[in-house]
Amino acid sequence: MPAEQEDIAILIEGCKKNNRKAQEQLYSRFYDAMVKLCLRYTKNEQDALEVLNNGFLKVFKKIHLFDATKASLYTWIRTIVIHSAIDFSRSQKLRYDTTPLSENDEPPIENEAIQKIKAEALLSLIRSLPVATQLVFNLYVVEGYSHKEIAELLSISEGTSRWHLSEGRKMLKQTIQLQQVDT
Amino acid sequence: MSELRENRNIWEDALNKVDTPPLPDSWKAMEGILDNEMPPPSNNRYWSWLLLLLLLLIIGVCYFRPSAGNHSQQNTSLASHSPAPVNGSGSVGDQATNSEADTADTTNSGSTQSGSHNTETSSSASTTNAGAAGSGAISSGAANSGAVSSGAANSGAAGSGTISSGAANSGAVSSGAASSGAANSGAISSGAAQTGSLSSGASTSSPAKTAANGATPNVSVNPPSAANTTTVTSRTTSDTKHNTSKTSHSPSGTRASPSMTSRSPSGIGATAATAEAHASESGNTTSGSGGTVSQGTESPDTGAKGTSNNITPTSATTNTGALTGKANGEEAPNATGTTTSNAASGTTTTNAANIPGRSALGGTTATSANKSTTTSKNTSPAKTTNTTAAKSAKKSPPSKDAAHKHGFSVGIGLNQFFALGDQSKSNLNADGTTGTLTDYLPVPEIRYYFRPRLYVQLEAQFNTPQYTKPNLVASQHVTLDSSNTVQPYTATSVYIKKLYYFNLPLSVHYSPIKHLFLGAGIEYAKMTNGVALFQQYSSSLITTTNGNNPSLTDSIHYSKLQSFKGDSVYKMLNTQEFRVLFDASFQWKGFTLGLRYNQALERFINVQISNSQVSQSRNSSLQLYLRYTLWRQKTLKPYEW
Repeated sequence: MPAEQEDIAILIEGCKKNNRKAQEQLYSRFYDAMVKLCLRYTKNEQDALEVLNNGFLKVFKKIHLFDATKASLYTWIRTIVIHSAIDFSRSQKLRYDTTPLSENDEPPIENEAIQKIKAEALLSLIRSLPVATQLVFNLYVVEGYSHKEIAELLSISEGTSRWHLSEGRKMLKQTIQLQQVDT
Repeated sequence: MSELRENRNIWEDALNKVDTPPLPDSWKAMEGILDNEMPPPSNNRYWSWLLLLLLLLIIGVCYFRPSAGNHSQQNTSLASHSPAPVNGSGSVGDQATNSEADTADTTNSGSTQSGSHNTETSSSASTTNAGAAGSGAISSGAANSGAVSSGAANSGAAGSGTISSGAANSGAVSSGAASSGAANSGAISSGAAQTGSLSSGASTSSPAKTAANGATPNVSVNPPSAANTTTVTSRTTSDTKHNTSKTSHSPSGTRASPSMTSRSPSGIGATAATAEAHASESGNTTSGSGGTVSQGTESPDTGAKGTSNNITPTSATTNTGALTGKANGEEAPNATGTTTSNAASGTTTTNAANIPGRSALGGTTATSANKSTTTSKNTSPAKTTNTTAAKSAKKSPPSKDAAHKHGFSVGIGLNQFFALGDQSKSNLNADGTTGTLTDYLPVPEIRYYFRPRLYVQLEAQFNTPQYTKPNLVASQHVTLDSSNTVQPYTATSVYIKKLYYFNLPLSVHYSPIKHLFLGAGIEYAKMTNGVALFQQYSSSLITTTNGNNPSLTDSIHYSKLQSFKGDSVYKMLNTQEFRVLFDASFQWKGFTLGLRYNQALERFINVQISNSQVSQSRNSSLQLYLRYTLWRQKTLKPYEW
């Protein structure tokens, strides 16, 4: 067993025993990736930390259910944190627009345009989207979920998921174009 | 419909470059949540510390108390009893001696014999101290003739047992006392032991038995008792090899007491009286007045044959009282032989000294000595001597320590608290208004002295201020319009500014250096009320002319300082806690000026404001105090060194 996996196994055992040191080490190890994920799903840093900590609380409570043969610890934690973000968005009186999707789906945003934007600006662009749209956009574009999976996760129809994605792309493109014009 | 996707990696890479909030702050919040949701199993560690402290307090008290109290009591008791046992001791001694007679022969045969026969002792006594054996004789000798000498040496070595017996005879009392008082010694002298037991019944006990058996005769138990300073004359000689009586001369009729074992720490002299009691504590032996010998020492029996015999030519008159070594519990380094006297008949001697492990006068004494020991049966004379011994004991002046008895004192004082670390000092009082006069309510205290250097103290501190950092206790955040990206809100926050407690500190104080006391203890603290800053503010949306980039402006609705007690804020706090305290004070006459630090064992606030914010804090304080003793029990002498 590689050293890293051994370390993780030790951490997991410590977390199962509710050992604070082990929990802290586990938290530190995945903090960077998870907090960035949370920042994309929320409107501000404070909400992001709330989502993150709720997610880790679930991790620590359910650590005994983790099965290393099914997925890596990173994947398992990431899934829990994403679900935590979805729960948080729901608590924000999330409203899904049920407007039927037009035949013309909004095409993806060009990669070149994204690469020209600074990270902080890109994050604020995503945060400027309505909550439901932001959620669907993140799940589809960044996490790689399909509309079917999103529909199941959010308890909405696939069409609604597509509509939110399309709306999100439109809004982002407009903002990106405006910024490029300004510059 | 297209299922075209953006390049996921590009988005993720771009978004991964954003700055993240600092990890420590996030973990602190996380830890707060975990403490609430998943408290660690070892959460009772504070209780274990508390129990440990209590245990230490109890041990400390138990350890010191007997030493202060017992001695005086034992002494007196000893003095009163003594006489009877003589015979018993004698007999014991005999046995011991007999068995060892052979050896005795070699060394001090003469003595032995004398030892063996009490009655004859006198005569034999005259001969010499038969080394070891002699001791037994001594006793008898003492008794009979009154002369006594114990070859200290002898005794040191083996002899003690005898000695005691000797003591028994003459100063039965004393011997008895010795044994009992010292506990140690008792053992030593077999003979003595018995006598001791008989007479005082006190401590003799097991040691005595051992001696009697002869098995352990030599064993020295006691710490060096010290020195008996007062020796009366006597020369001491030490024969290392043979107990021999060479050295010893018993002048007038005395005999050397040979072999008794010396162990009696406190020695025979114990009898000497109460006063000596202290000495014994300290390891000083005293010599018994009545003829006894005191050997305070433990002679380790090294088997050294030689013993030092001190012989004191004694005259009966000489010493009576024993003399004590140092009264204060200090051990006298070398116990040199000492002597004692016999009151009654003439007396004796002792030897002394031995430092444990070493035989006193160079003599290491020894086993051989023991063997040689003999005892004598005592005869009546002992009784007489005993009484004299008791008298002398009474007469002897009490030692300094003896005058100090345990007792209570009551005092009063004032405290000045200081802010520590990130605590902020506040000039608010318990009502939330300015003015801190009520922070200085007098503090009553009660002390119980176990000895001048050691006491336990209980205080009651009312309305005690506790400075804190401005802890956020509660925050309510209401979003007024969630439709916009920038959302106006109204927020209400409560910040703690100062707390007030009722404290009951219980502490033990010990003085390692003159006037300086160090203490430690535990403190129960009950929050009475607190002062907090209640604040409400709201943010309103400001839009620009073109409608873009709306922003928020804050406006405070109210902000007021207010006392809280029993309300929702109060209930969010942990209102009872235990603290550990450490204390250093300077005491002069009735005044005590000290500095105390205390630290709570648990948090007084552990509130989760939101999932990303936790308010946690633990109390600690530093106080300077001045106390004055208003009353003390009459038995309690003012603290003097």
